[in-house]
Amino acid sequence: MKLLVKLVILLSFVPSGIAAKKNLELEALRIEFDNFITEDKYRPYAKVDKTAARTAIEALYNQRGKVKEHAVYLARNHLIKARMVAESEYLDAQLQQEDQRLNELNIETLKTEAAVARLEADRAQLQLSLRAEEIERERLEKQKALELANQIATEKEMTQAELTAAQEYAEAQKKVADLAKQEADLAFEEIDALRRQLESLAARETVDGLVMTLGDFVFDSASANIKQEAVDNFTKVLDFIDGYPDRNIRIEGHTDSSGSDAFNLSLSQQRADAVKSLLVDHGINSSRIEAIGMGESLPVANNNTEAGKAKNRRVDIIILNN
Amino acid sequence: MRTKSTKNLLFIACFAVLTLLTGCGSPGGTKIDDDSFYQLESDVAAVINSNVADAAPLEIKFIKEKLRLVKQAKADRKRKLEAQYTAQIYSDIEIAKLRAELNRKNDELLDKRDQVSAAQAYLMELQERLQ
Repeated sequence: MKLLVKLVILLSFVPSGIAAKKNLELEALRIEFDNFITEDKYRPYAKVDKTAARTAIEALYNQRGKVKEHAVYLARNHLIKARMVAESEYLDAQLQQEDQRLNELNIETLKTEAAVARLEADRAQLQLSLRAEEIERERLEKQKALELANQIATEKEMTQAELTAAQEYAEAQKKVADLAKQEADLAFEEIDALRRQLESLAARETVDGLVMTLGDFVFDSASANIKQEAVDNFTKVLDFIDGYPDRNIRIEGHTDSSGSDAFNLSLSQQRADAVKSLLVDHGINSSRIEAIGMGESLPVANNNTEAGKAKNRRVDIIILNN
Repeated sequence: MRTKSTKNLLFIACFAVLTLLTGCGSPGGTKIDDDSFYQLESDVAAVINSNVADAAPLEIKFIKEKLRLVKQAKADRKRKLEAQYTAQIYSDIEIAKLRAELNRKNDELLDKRDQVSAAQAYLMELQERLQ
Protein backbone atom coordinates (compact mmCIF):
# COMPACT_ATOMS: atom_id res chain seq x y z
CA MET A 1 0.00 0.00 0.00
CA LYS A 2 2.78 2.39 0.93
CA LEU A 3 4.46 1.50 -2.31
CA LEU A 4 1.31 2.40 -4.24
CA VAL A 5 1.07 5.76 -2.51
CA LYS A 6 4.67 6.58 -3.31
CA LEU A 7 4.12 5.60 -6.94
CA VAL A 8 1.04 7.81 -7.27
CA ILE A 9 2.85 10.76 -5.71
CA LEU A 10 5.83 10.19 -7.93
CA LEU A 11 3.62 10.01 -11.02
CA SER A 12 1.82 13.23 -10.10
CA PHE A 13 5.02 15.23 -9.74
CA VAL A 14 6.86 13.96 -12.80
CA PRO A 15 4.70 15.90 -15.37
CA SER A 16 4.83 19.06 -13.24
CA GLY A 17 8.56 18.85 -13.20
CA ILE A 18 8.67 18.46 -16.93
CA ALA A 19 6.28 21.45 -17.47
CA ALA A 20 8.29 23.62 -15.13
CA LYS A 21 11.37 22.99 -17.12
CA LYS A 22 11.46 25.82 -19.67
CA ASN A 23 13.30 24.93 -22.80
CA LEU A 24 15.53 27.50 -24.33
CA GLU A 25 13.36 28.03 -27.36
CA LEU A 26 10.42 29.02 -25.22
CA GLU A 27 12.58 31.40 -23.26
CA ALA A 28 13.93 32.94 -26.45
CA LEU A 29 10.37 33.36 -27.64
CA ARG A 30 9.41 35.16 -24.45
CA ILE A 31 12.39 37.50 -24.64
CA GLU A 32 11.58 38.19 -28.25
CA PHE A 33 8.02 39.03 -27.33
CA ASP A 34 9.14 41.28 -24.46
CA ASN A 35 11.45 43.17 -26.79
CA PHE A 36 8.66 43.53 -29.30
CA ILE A 37 6.06 44.96 -26.95
CA THR A 38 8.54 47.39 -25.42
CA GLU A 39 9.61 48.73 -28.79
CA ASP A 40 8.36 52.31 -29.04
CA LYS A 41 7.93 52.14 -32.78
CA TYR A 42 5.27 49.43 -32.49
CA ARG A 43 3.77 50.43 -29.15
CA PRO A 44 0.48 51.82 -30.47
CA TYR A 45 -0.12 49.10 -33.06
CA ALA A 46 -1.41 45.52 -33.35
CA LYS A 47 -2.95 45.42 -29.90
CA VAL A 48 -5.23 42.52 -30.69
CA ASP A 49 -2.45 40.47 -32.21
CA LYS A 50 -0.12 41.30 -29.34
CA THR A 51 -2.72 39.99 -26.95
CA ALA A 52 -3.11 36.85 -29.04
CA ALA A 53 0.66 36.34 -29.05
CA ARG A 54 0.90 36.92 -25.33
CA THR A 55 -1.91 34.46 -24.72
CA ALA A 56 -0.23 31.86 -26.89
CA ILE A 57 3.12 32.26 -25.13
CA GLU A 58 1.58 32.30 -21.68
CA ALA A 59 -0.32 29.17 -22.61
CA LEU A 60 3.01 27.55 -23.34
CA TYR A 61 4.22 28.50 -19.90
CA ASN A 62 1.08 27.21 -18.33
CA GLN A 63 1.27 23.91 -20.11
CA ARG A 64 1.97 20.96 -18.00
CA GLY A 65 4.38 18.48 -19.31
CA LYS A 66 6.71 18.87 -22.21
CA VAL A 67 6.15 21.94 -24.33
CA LYS A 68 5.16 20.73 -27.74
CA GLU A 69 7.11 21.85 -30.72
CA HIS A 70 3.89 22.47 -32.61
CA ALA A 71 2.55 24.79 -29.94
CA VAL A 72 5.82 26.70 -29.89
CA TYR A 73 5.69 27.00 -33.65
CA LEU A 74 2.19 28.42 -33.59
CA ALA A 75 3.06 30.77 -30.73
CA ARG A 76 6.06 32.01 -32.69
CA ASN A 77 3.82 32.50 -35.68
CA HIS A 78 1.49 34.54 -33.49
CA LEU A 79 4.41 36.68 -32.49
CA ILE A 80 5.57 37.03 -36.10
CA LYS A 81 2.07 37.88 -37.18
CA ALA A 82 1.74 40.47 -34.40
CA ARG A 83 5.04 42.03 -35.45
CA MET A 84 3.96 42.08 -39.09
CA VAL A 85 0.59 43.55 -38.28
CA ALA A 86 2.32 46.18 -36.16
CA GLU A 87 4.72 46.90 -39.00
CA SER A 88 1.79 47.03 -41.41
CA GLU A 89 -0.09 49.48 -39.21
CA TYR A 90 3.09 51.47 -38.74
CA LEU A 91 3.47 51.62 -42.52
CA ASP A 92 -0.17 52.65 -42.82
CA ALA A 93 0.53 55.50 -40.42
CA GLN A 94 3.66 56.44 -42.35
CA LEU A 95 1.72 56.33 -45.62
CA GLN A 96 -0.96 58.48 -44.09
CA GLN A 97 1.65 60.97 -42.93
CA GLU A 98 3.29 60.99 -46.33
CA ASP A 99 -0.09 61.38 -47.99
CA GLN A 100 -0.84 64.29 -45.71
CA ARG A 101 2.58 65.77 -46.37
CA LEU A 102 2.10 65.26 -50.10
CA ASN A 103 -1.31 66.89 -49.95
CA GLU A 104 0.12 69.84 -48.04
CA LEU A 105 2.92 70.10 -50.55
CA ASN A 106 0.47 69.91 -53.43
CA ILE A 107 -1.64 72.66 -51.91
CA GLU A 108 1.45 74.75 -51.26
CA THR A 109 2.63 73.99 -54.78
CA LEU A 110 -0.69 75.07 -56.26
CA LYS A 111 -0.56 78.32 -54.29
CA THR A 112 3.04 78.89 -55.29
CA GLU A 113 2.29 78.06 -58.92
CA ALA A 114 -0.51 80.60 -58.82
CA ALA A 115 1.85 83.15 -57.30
CA VAL A 116 4.50 82.35 -59.90
CA ALA A 117 1.90 82.62 -62.65
CA ARG A 118 0.81 85.99 -61.29
CA LEU A 119 4.40 87.10 -61.01
CA GLU A 120 5.19 85.95 -64.52
CA ALA A 121 2.05 87.61 -65.78
CA ASP A 122 3.10 90.81 -64.03
CA ARG A 123 6.57 90.48 -65.49
CA ALA A 124 5.14 89.83 -68.94
CA GLN A 125 2.87 92.84 -68.54
CA LEU A 126 5.79 94.93 -67.41
CA GLN A 127 7.87 93.75 -70.34
CA LEU A 128 5.03 94.55 -72.67
CA SER A 129 4.74 97.99 -71.15
CA LEU A 130 8.47 98.52 -71.44
CA ARG A 131 8.42 97.28 -75.02
CA ALA A 132 5.49 99.55 -75.80
CA GLU A 133 7.33 102.47 -74.24
CA GLU A 134 10.43 101.56 -76.18
CA ILE A 135 8.44 101.38 -79.41
CA GLU A 136 6.79 104.70 -78.61
CA ARG A 137 10.15 106.22 -77.81
CA GLU A 138 11.62 104.87 -81.04
CA ARG A 139 8.60 106.18 -82.91
CA LEU A 140 9.00 109.59 -81.33
CA GLU A 141 12.70 109.59 -82.07
CA LYS A 142 12.02 108.64 -85.68
CA GLN A 143 9.32 111.27 -85.88
CA LYS A 144 11.66 113.84 -84.39
CA ALA A 145 14.42 112.79 -86.76
CA LEU A 146 11.98 112.99 -89.65
CA GLU A 147 10.82 116.40 -88.54
CA LEU A 148 14.41 117.48 -88.18
CA ALA A 149 15.21 116.13 -91.62
CA ASN A 150 12.17 117.88 -93.03
CA GLN A 151 13.15 121.04 -91.22
CA ILE A 152 16.68 120.81 -92.55
CA ALA A 153 15.34 120.08 -96.01
CA THR A 154 12.90 122.97 -95.72
CA GLU A 155 15.63 125.22 -94.45
CA LYS A 156 17.82 124.11 -97.29
CA GLU A 157 14.99 124.69 -99.70
CA MET A 158 14.28 128.01 -98.07
CA THR A 159 17.92 128.87 -98.07
CA GLN A 160 18.12 127.85 -101.67
CA ALA A 161 14.98 129.82 -102.44
CA GLU A 162 16.23 132.75 -100.43
CA LEU A 163 19.57 132.45 -102.10
CA THR A 164 17.91 132.29 -105.49
CA ALA A 165 15.69 135.21 -104.56
CA ALA A 166 18.65 137.12 -103.23
CA GLN A 167 20.57 136.32 -106.36
CA GLU A 168 17.61 137.34 -108.45
CA TYR A 169 17.19 140.43 -106.31
CA ALA A 170 20.88 141.16 -106.56
CA GLU A 171 20.74 140.63 -110.27
CA ALA A 172 17.68 142.85 -110.46
CA GLN A 173 19.37 145.40 -108.29
CA LYS A 174 22.40 145.09 -110.43
CA LYS A 175 20.26 145.61 -113.50
CA VAL A 176 18.59 148.53 -111.79
CA ALA A 177 21.95 149.87 -110.82
CA ASP A 178 23.21 149.29 -114.32
CA LEU A 179 20.16 150.97 -115.69
CA ALA A 180 20.53 153.76 -113.18
CA LYS A 181 24.15 154.03 -114.07
CA GLN A 182 23.28 153.99 -117.72
CA GLU A 183 20.60 156.56 -117.08
CA ALA A 184 23.00 158.55 -114.99
CA ASP A 185 25.61 158.23 -117.65
CA LEU A 186 23.07 159.24 -120.19
CA ALA A 187 21.92 162.06 -117.98
CA PHE A 188 25.47 163.17 -117.43
CA GLU A 189 26.11 162.88 -121.09
CA GLU A 190 22.93 164.78 -121.78
CA ILE A 191 23.77 167.41 -119.21
CA ASP A 192 27.22 167.61 -120.55
CA ALA A 193 25.90 167.85 -124.06
CA LEU A 194 23.35 170.44 -122.94
CA ARG A 195 26.04 172.38 -121.14
CA ARG A 196 28.29 172.19 -124.18
CA GLN A 197 25.40 173.19 -126.45
CA LEU A 198 24.51 176.08 -124.23
CA GLU A 199 28.13 177.13 -123.98
CA SER A 200 28.50 176.86 -127.69
CA LEU A 201 25.49 179.04 -128.32
CA ALA A 202 26.41 181.80 -130.69
CA ALA A 203 24.49 184.82 -131.74
CA ARG A 204 23.96 185.61 -135.38
CA GLU A 205 23.08 188.90 -136.97
CA THR A 206 19.69 189.10 -138.68
CA VAL A 207 17.50 191.83 -140.02
CA ASP A 208 15.56 192.04 -136.77
CA GLY A 209 18.60 191.98 -134.60
CA LEU A 210 20.98 189.55 -132.89
CA VAL A 211 19.47 186.11 -132.64
CA MET A 212 20.46 183.32 -130.25
CA THR A 213 18.68 180.03 -130.91
CA LEU A 214 17.93 177.51 -128.18
CA GLY A 215 17.51 174.01 -129.57
CA ASP A 216 14.72 171.70 -128.45
CA PHE A 217 17.20 170.00 -126.10
CA VAL A 218 16.40 172.77 -123.63
CA PHE A 219 12.84 171.41 -123.17
CA ASP A 220 11.41 168.15 -122.13
CA SER A 221 10.00 166.25 -125.04
CA ALA A 222 6.67 167.63 -126.30
CA SER A 223 6.59 169.93 -123.28
CA ALA A 224 7.18 173.55 -122.43
CA ASN A 225 9.07 172.61 -119.30
CA ILE A 226 12.68 173.81 -119.37
CA LYS A 227 15.10 171.18 -118.14
CA GLN A 228 16.69 171.91 -114.78
CA GLU A 229 20.10 171.32 -116.25
CA ALA A 230 19.36 173.97 -118.90
CA VAL A 231 18.25 176.36 -116.21
CA ASP A 232 21.48 175.69 -114.28
CA ASN A 233 23.56 176.38 -117.38
CA PHE A 234 21.70 179.40 -118.67
CA THR A 235 24.61 181.75 -117.93
CA LYS A 236 25.67 182.11 -121.58
CA VAL A 237 22.17 183.25 -122.56
CA LEU A 238 21.97 185.70 -119.69
CA ASP A 239 25.43 187.05 -120.49
CA PHE A 240 24.31 187.47 -124.08
CA ILE A 241 21.23 189.47 -123.00
CA ASP A 242 23.11 191.45 -120.39
CA GLY A 243 25.35 192.72 -123.17
CA TYR A 244 22.41 194.68 -124.57
CA PRO A 245 20.55 196.14 -121.62
CA ASP A 246 18.82 198.86 -123.61
CA ARG A 247 17.29 196.66 -126.23
CA ASN A 248 13.97 194.88 -126.16
CA ILE A 249 13.79 191.20 -126.55
CA ARG A 250 11.50 189.06 -128.62
CA ILE A 251 11.24 185.43 -127.90
CA GLU A 252 9.86 183.27 -130.71
CA GLY A 253 8.81 179.68 -130.22
CA HIS A 254 8.94 177.30 -133.24
CA THR A 255 8.03 173.64 -133.76
CA ASP A 256 8.42 171.06 -136.48
CA SER A 257 5.50 169.93 -138.60
CA SER A 258 4.59 166.90 -136.50
CA GLY A 259 1.22 167.21 -134.84
CA SER A 260 -1.62 169.62 -135.54
CA ASP A 261 -1.09 173.29 -136.21
CA ALA A 262 -3.01 174.27 -133.11
CA PHE A 263 -0.96 171.99 -130.94
CA ASN A 264 2.27 173.24 -132.46
CA LEU A 265 1.17 176.84 -132.08
CA SER A 266 0.24 176.32 -128.48
CA LEU A 267 3.42 174.42 -127.69
CA SER A 268 5.57 177.10 -129.34
CA GLN A 269 3.82 179.83 -127.38
CA GLN A 270 4.22 177.96 -124.12
CA ARG A 271 7.88 177.41 -124.72
CA ALA A 272 8.38 181.11 -125.57
CA ASP A 273 6.56 182.04 -122.38
CA ALA A 274 8.68 179.63 -120.38
CA VAL A 275 11.90 181.23 -121.61
CA LYS A 276 10.48 184.68 -120.91
CA SER A 277 9.57 183.60 -117.39
CA LEU A 278 13.03 182.24 -116.84
CA LEU A 279 14.61 185.50 -117.99
CA VAL A 280 12.32 187.47 -115.74
CA ASP A 281 13.34 185.19 -112.88
CA HIS A 282 16.92 186.15 -113.58
CA GLY A 283 16.13 189.88 -113.16
CA ILE A 284 15.34 190.94 -116.68
CA ASN A 285 12.48 193.37 -116.89
CA SER A 286 9.46 191.70 -118.37
CA SER A 287 8.46 194.87 -120.19
CA ARG A 288 11.47 194.37 -122.43
CA ILE A 289 10.38 190.89 -123.39
CA GLU A 290 7.83 189.76 -125.93
CA ALA A 291 7.05 186.08 -126.21
CA ILE A 292 5.45 184.84 -129.44
CA GLY A 293 4.51 181.30 -130.49
CA MET A 294 5.11 180.86 -134.21
CA GLY A 295 4.12 177.23 -134.51
CA GLU A 296 5.47 175.40 -137.52
CA SER A 297 5.17 178.45 -139.77
CA LEU A 298 8.84 179.38 -139.99
CA PRO A 299 10.91 176.28 -140.47
CA VAL A 300 14.64 176.62 -140.93
CA ALA A 301 15.12 173.09 -142.25
CA ASN A 302 13.31 170.33 -144.06
CA ASN A 303 10.65 168.69 -141.88
CA ASN A 304 10.96 165.44 -143.86
CA THR A 305 14.06 164.39 -141.92
CA GLU A 306 14.64 163.96 -138.25
CA ALA A 307 17.61 166.23 -138.38
CA GLY A 308 15.54 168.88 -140.09
CA LYS A 309 12.74 168.52 -137.59
CA ALA A 310 15.24 168.85 -134.73
CA LYS A 311 16.49 172.11 -136.20
CA ASN A 312 12.95 173.42 -136.63
CA ARG A 313 12.10 172.74 -132.93
CA ARG A 314 13.70 175.84 -131.39
CA VAL A 315 13.26 179.06 -129.47
CA ASP A 316 14.87 182.16 -130.88
CA ILE A 317 15.91 184.95 -128.50
CA ILE A 318 16.18 188.06 -130.56
CA ILE A 319 17.88 191.23 -129.28
CA LEU A 320 15.87 193.62 -131.33
CA ASN A 321 17.52 196.47 -133.14
CA ASN A 322 16.36 199.84 -131.89
CA MET B 1 -6.85 7.71 10.71
CA ARG B 2 -7.48 5.20 8.04
CA THR B 3 -10.27 7.17 6.55
CA LYS B 4 -8.09 10.23 6.43
CA SER B 5 -5.32 8.40 4.64
CA THR B 6 -7.75 7.03 2.12
CA LYS B 7 -9.09 10.50 1.36
CA ASN B 8 -5.62 11.86 0.90
CA LEU B 9 -4.72 9.04 -1.35
CA LEU B 10 -7.82 9.56 -3.42
CA PHE B 11 -7.13 13.28 -3.75
CA ILE B 12 -3.57 12.65 -4.81
CA ALA B 13 -4.63 10.08 -7.34
CA CYS B 14 -7.20 12.45 -8.89
CA PHE B 15 -4.63 15.24 -9.00
CA ALA B 16 -2.15 12.98 -10.72
CA VAL B 17 -4.64 11.84 -13.33
CA LEU B 18 -5.77 15.41 -14.06
CA THR B 19 -2.18 16.53 -14.35
CA LEU B 20 -1.39 13.76 -16.78
CA LEU B 21 -4.48 14.51 -18.81
CA THR B 22 -3.55 18.19 -18.96
CA GLY B 23 0.09 17.59 -19.85
CA CYS B 24 -0.50 14.95 -22.44
CA GLY B 25 -3.52 16.62 -24.08
CA SER B 26 -3.46 18.31 -27.43
CA PRO B 27 -2.94 22.12 -27.28
CA GLY B 28 -5.97 22.53 -29.47
CA GLY B 29 -5.77 21.78 -33.16
CA THR B 30 -7.39 21.73 -36.53
CA LYS B 31 -10.19 19.35 -37.16
CA ILE B 32 -9.18 16.94 -39.85
CA ASP B 33 -11.33 14.86 -42.13
CA ASP B 34 -10.76 13.11 -45.44
CA ASP B 35 -11.21 16.28 -47.47
CA SER B 36 -9.07 18.55 -45.32
CA PHE B 37 -5.91 17.82 -47.27
CA TYR B 38 -7.51 18.58 -50.59
CA GLN B 39 -8.87 21.82 -49.26
CA LEU B 40 -5.43 22.66 -47.93
CA GLU B 41 -3.83 21.73 -51.21
CA SER B 42 -6.25 24.00 -53.05
CA ASP B 43 -5.65 26.88 -50.67
CA VAL B 44 -1.88 26.51 -51.02
CA ALA B 45 -2.16 26.45 -54.81
CA ALA B 46 -4.21 29.63 -54.70
CA VAL B 47 -1.50 31.35 -52.69
CA ILE B 48 1.27 30.07 -54.96
CA ASN B 49 -0.58 31.37 -57.99
CA SER B 50 -1.12 34.78 -56.43
CA ASN B 51 1.33 37.66 -56.15
CA VAL B 52 2.10 36.46 -52.63
CA ALA B 53 4.46 33.86 -54.12
CA ASP B 54 6.72 36.57 -55.52
CA ALA B 55 6.54 38.71 -52.41
CA ALA B 56 7.23 35.92 -49.88
CA PRO B 57 9.25 33.20 -51.63
CA LEU B 58 10.81 31.84 -48.41
CA GLU B 59 7.47 31.33 -46.75
CA ILE B 60 6.12 29.67 -49.88
CA LYS B 61 9.08 27.33 -49.90
CA PHE B 62 8.36 26.27 -46.29
CA ILE B 63 4.69 25.88 -47.07
CA LYS B 64 5.44 23.58 -50.00
CA GLU B 65 7.78 21.47 -47.86
CA LYS B 66 5.23 21.29 -45.11
CA LEU B 67 2.52 20.34 -47.56
CA ARG B 68 4.58 17.30 -48.46
CA LEU B 69 4.74 16.40 -44.77
CA VAL B 70 0.97 16.74 -44.53
CA LYS B 71 0.61 14.47 -47.49
CA GLN B 72 2.95 11.99 -45.89
CA ALA B 73 1.11 12.13 -42.56
CA LYS B 74 -2.16 11.64 -44.35
CA ALA B 75 -0.73 8.64 -46.14
CA ASP B 76 0.57 7.31 -42.84
CA ARG B 77 -2.83 7.99 -41.31
CA LYS B 78 -1.23 10.11 -38.64
CA ARG B 79 -4.19 12.35 -38.13
CA LYS B 80 -2.77 14.34 -35.27
CA LEU B 81 0.41 15.13 -37.14
CA GLU B 82 -1.60 15.95 -40.24
CA ALA B 83 -3.73 18.35 -38.20
CA GLN B 84 -0.68 20.06 -36.71
CA TYR B 85 1.00 20.55 -40.05
CA THR B 86 -2.24 21.76 -41.56
CA ALA B 87 -2.61 24.34 -38.80
CA GLN B 88 1.00 25.40 -39.30
CA ILE B 89 0.51 25.79 -43.05
CA TYR B 90 -2.55 27.97 -42.61
CA SER B 91 -0.60 30.06 -40.14
CA ASP B 92 2.29 30.26 -42.59
CA ILE B 93 -0.10 31.29 -45.37
CA GLU B 94 -1.36 34.07 -43.18
CA ILE B 95 2.20 35.23 -42.53
CA ALA B 96 3.07 34.99 -46.22
CA LYS B 97 0.11 37.17 -47.06
CA LEU B 98 1.19 39.64 -44.41
CA ARG B 99 4.72 39.60 -45.84
CA ALA B 100 3.35 40.38 -49.30
CA GLU B 101 1.22 43.13 -47.83
CA LEU B 102 4.23 44.56 -46.01
CA ASN B 103 6.32 44.50 -49.16
CA ARG B 104 3.57 46.25 -51.07
CA LYS B 105 3.22 48.88 -48.37
CA ASN B 106 6.97 49.37 -48.19
CA ASP B 107 7.07 49.86 -51.95
CA GLU B 108 4.13 52.22 -51.72
CA LEU B 109 5.81 54.15 -48.94
CA LEU B 110 9.05 54.45 -50.93
CA ASP B 111 7.09 55.59 -53.92
CA LYS B 112 5.19 58.07 -51.79
CA ARG B 113 8.41 59.44 -50.31
CA ASP B 114 9.80 59.83 -53.81
CA GLN B 115 6.70 61.79 -54.70
CA VAL B 116 7.14 63.94 -51.59
CA SER B 117 10.79 64.57 -52.46
CA ALA B 118 9.91 65.47 -56.02
CA ALA B 119 7.11 67.72 -54.80
CA GLN B 120 9.47 69.40 -52.33
CA ALA B 121 12.08 69.94 -55.04
CA TYR B 122 9.48 71.36 -57.40
CA LEU B 123 8.11 73.61 -54.66
CA MET B 124 11.61 74.90 -53.86
CA GLU B 125 12.16 75.62 -57.54
CA LEU B 126 8.90 77.55 -57.65
CA GLN B 127 9.80 79.48 -54.51
CA GLU B 128 13.19 80.37 -56.00
CA ARG B 129 11.39 81.69 -59.09
CA LEU B 130 9.28 83.84 -56.79
CA GLN B 131 12.38 85.53 -55.33
